[in-house]
Amino acid sequence: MATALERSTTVTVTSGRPAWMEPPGPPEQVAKTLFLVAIAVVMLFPFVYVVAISFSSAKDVLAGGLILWPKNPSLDAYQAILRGGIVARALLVSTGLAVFGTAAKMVATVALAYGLSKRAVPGAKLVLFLVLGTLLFRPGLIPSYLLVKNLGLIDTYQSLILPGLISAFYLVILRNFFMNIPQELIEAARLDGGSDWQVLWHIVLPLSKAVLAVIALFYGVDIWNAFFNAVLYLNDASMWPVQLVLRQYVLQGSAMASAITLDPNQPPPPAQTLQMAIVVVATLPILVVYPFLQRYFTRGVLSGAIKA
Amino acid sequence: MAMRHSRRALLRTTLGLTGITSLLAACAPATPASPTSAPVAPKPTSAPPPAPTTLPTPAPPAATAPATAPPGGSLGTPTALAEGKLPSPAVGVPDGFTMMPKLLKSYDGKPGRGGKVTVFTIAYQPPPVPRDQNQMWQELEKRLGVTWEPIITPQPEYGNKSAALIAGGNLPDLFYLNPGQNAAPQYKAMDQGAFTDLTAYLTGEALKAYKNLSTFPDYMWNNVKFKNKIIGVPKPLQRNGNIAFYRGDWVKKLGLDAPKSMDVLHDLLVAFARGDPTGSGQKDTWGLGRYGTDWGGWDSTLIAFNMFGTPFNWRKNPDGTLTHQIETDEFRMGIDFLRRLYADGAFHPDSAGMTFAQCQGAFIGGKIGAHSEGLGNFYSPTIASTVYFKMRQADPNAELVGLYPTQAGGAKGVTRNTQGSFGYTAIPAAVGKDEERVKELLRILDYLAPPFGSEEWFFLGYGIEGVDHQVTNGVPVLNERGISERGDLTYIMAGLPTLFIPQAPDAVAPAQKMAHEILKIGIDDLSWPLYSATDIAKRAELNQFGFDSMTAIITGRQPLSALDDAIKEWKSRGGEQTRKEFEQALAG
Amino acid sequence: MATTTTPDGVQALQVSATATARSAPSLAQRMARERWMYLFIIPGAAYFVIFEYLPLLGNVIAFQDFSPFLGFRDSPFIGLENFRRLFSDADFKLALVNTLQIEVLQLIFAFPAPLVLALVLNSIVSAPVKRSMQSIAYLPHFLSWVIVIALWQQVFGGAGFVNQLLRSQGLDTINIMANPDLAKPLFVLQSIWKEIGWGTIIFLAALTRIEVELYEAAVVDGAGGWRRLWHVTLPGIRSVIVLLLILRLGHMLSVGFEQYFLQRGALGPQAAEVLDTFVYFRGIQGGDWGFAAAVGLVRGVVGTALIVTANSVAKRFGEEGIY
Repeated sequence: MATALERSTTVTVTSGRPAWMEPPGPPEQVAKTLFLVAIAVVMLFPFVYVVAISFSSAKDVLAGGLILWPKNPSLDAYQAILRGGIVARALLVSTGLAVFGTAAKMVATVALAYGLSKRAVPGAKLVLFLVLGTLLFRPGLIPSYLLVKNLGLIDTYQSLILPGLISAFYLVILRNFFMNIPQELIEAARLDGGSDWQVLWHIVLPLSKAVLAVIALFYGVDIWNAFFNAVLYLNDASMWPVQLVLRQYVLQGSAMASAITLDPNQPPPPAQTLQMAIVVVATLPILVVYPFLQRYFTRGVLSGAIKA
Repeated sequence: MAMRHSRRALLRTTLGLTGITSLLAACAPATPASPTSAPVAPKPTSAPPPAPTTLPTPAPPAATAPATAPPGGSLGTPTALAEGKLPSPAVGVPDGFTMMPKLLKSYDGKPGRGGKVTVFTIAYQPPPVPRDQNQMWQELEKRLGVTWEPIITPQPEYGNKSAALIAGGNLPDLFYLNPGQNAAPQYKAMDQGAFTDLTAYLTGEALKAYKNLSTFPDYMWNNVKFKNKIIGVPKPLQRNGNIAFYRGDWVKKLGLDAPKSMDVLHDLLVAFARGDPTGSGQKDTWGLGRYGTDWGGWDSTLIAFNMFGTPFNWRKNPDGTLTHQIETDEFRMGIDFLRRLYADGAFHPDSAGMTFAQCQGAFIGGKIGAHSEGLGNFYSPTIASTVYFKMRQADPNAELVGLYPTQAGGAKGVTRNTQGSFGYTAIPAAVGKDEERVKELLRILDYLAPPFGSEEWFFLGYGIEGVDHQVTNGVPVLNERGISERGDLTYIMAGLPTLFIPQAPDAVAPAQKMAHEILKIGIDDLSWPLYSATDIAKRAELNQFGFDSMTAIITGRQPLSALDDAIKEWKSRGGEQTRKEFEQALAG
Repeated sequence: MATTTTPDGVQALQVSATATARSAPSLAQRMARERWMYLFIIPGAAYFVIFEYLPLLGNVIAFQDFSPFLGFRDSPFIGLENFRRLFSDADFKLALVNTLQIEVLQLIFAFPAPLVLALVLNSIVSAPVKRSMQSIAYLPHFLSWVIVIALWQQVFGGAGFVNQLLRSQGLDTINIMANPDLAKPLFVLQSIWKEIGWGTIIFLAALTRIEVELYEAAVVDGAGGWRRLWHVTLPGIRSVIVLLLILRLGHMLSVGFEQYFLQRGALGPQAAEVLDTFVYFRGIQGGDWGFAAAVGLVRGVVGTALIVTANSVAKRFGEEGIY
């Protein structure tokens, strides 16, 4: 096993031009720079706007117009959201779901993708069709609910992980990447006496870091953003994930003055600031985690292995 | 009634993922979105917050249980003191109170017999603090004598959860129904017998066992009957409809008069757009905006159809037949009025796609000069978190003037009443087999509808002193913890609406008068108590069709004559069939 | 090798039969040999059977007048009635046509966009710049459509930034967000803006697999930037591109819901009604679950046909395809 891997040297490409690339001419430089600056502006601007509004006070929002920097910054929106510990608890719930859920989904998906990536296995194609079928035909809301109910999973966290445990879409992608690993490496490992498990662990997984990082990211973000299953399968509101809780603040903020409200000297913050603060609170954890995964799919990991 | 959309329904029931709008939109549900329109159906706007002003110190609750009261029953205690009470001048107009009353006990004993009560309820608030840390919840359970388990369901998913629960079989003990949000599936379920017929329990002598519910006016019960049966206990809502409000300061600045005719009203709204009423030198104001996507969507400001006297959905003709609003001359005049306003630039340019939040924001921010929503928003600029208050914050010169339909529209002017309720709570058929259980549940609902000024009313509103509210200058103020503990725990039921404005006691009398004036010319949708299978099946589609047709004409994409085609199509899409069925129901 | 005196054909057959008997293992033998792989496959397969196929049976409601209270057993069976209603509905045709038009535009513009951006990003030499650009580009993905539309309104709406500018200069305002004629390009542009950054992720991952030696060899052969792109880079990620394209075709009839639902009022159903909004108004709001399920089945059938076709075409070009 080790010998096969030794034969593939992993090179991490760091900053700096690779030896084979020629330096770009001025027109190319300029074009690329302009293009990138344009993209940066167009993509960053809405986020700057979102953050700016989230820190705005009622006065700024009422004045209207495009706010890129609040004149009267205020933490009202954030305070409104974070008080009472409800959001804090929901963040905890969502984090737990994201961590354990992603782990579970990755294990399940990798296993099946690997199993289906070996052509020699009789019946693999059949299972593949089974999986592909779910891409095209999806079960309805009520049958799904009835299944979860009959399995006794109502009001459990499992109900937020098990339905959708393996995404056919991600599975197909993962399988494709597995199948594109140079066969010579795998053959060599087998010749060395490696079992299927050892091939997976020592060859396939190390060479698939990029796509594994990507799928883990996708699963993680999906879990983090999910709320619909929670409404359906959870009757106990103390188990709500963060997106569901946060949405209610916007609902509350844009609803008309309810029967009894707070101290009138402290009117609730305007709905827009709440909405934007929610976007920030909900997205921040992803933005924090993301760079750690990003390095796996922006660096080359495979080099010089074929000429064995 | 505005229709609410349950977005995520699509995800699950249509076989297809949310759509790969990019290569990789990870085929999971798209990132969550907030609801696109805030509740348009009016929420209780009466009983606004008490606030620190100098009011007489409320005496501690005095027990006045008459010895002969049945155990665990409401006492029918007359509300509050005579002092400071402005009794209602007519049925449907709320009582007014200028002072915090002396709290009297209105319920003797506990309504529950022990055990658990599960409640399916809609939610507009964040979830309440979990029970083990929630003192108000625990106290509530003590008072009710049961373990109270609400199934808190966010408003956008209300329809889906409702369907799932019904399909799942064992329903909760109390089921909040709101056909305004989710008509067809709920009516179907009612028709198929999913819920107990409560008529016997809630009429005649039987009703008297529930003293609070007995005070509900007849219209509340009648407007929510299904095939002449009482399926649920209505949640009280103020009866009168709304009127338009416009910027009086702008009118003054432009040197104009209050609109006495529709032409003057037209010119006024156009002047808001063209005349630079804010003096900013920029073209940044318009006459009005709009929100909602049903028949009234383009006239959310209430300056058109009410003025012309357009019927509230249906008009009964002397020969017993029904005419739908789309077929009437008044409707045509209303659309024409709106169309000319749009063509003359009075509408905010983003009107076609405006959400409620955007429209409200535009009004508060001084971008549009006319608007309408819950009446409580306009009583006085000193009431915090109302539209008027926020507007004054933005512009200290802002003045709002109400526009009664009779002012501009003359004798034909009408207002549209509410049903007097916002949803009703039903008891599933399986639960309803046990008569004692039904009575217990009704007693609980009775408890949750306490009269104003009672000790129970105070608890349900303010929770526990020192924990949920503080008493400042003799007036209770709900604090952060209080809001978090209260949440939507008992959303399903409330007491009768009243007018109590502690921050502005002087505003009570005018508010009551306004409610009375509005109610005097109020009309009902006479199809409320009638049943039509086609109406249930087609209502959503026809509402949408109505809105789409109006949009095309008002924005000028199609001429006014397109209305004739719209009428024909409305008929063929189910309108004619609906009419026949309603006529039959009306005839008996 | 055994020979017989029978005619050639049969002889050859016998020969080859014997040969196969000796060299090729039987099905049972192959299964036994691969038995460990089944350990990987069976749990996953079980998941799909239980959590996906069992509830899929619920699509029987497409043939019923289904109501949740009566359930599957007691809801009346109406055969193909839902389908008949669907195909004779004028709005269905409108929604279908709109959906297809939008999807075609998406395929031409929105599908390649992340690829192009990924290639550009990949050619950035400085790793910190590359990473931060990629992170910036993905930000809009996390904004919900409600906020995205609100933002676009702020900039392009009738009272938006652009129009304010025009007005202050005394020019005519332009109608972008409420103009039915611009609807489809508008939708595609919004999609690109929202998803281009997120879409680069998978391509960047695929690009990392291309061996450096291939580039070095190409340079040695005298290939410049564009030729390297054509002969090394694109072939290197071709299988991923084809895979994603096929998957996308399977969803040709789903272009999304929220984006269209939010703008339908402003643009009118002629321009903005898509299959998802159509089903919403017809099926969901009316509590017509059977109808909604019928639409889903139609979608599935069409998607299947498209995937099968696309896959065979891909195979003919020497690609792997999905299966």
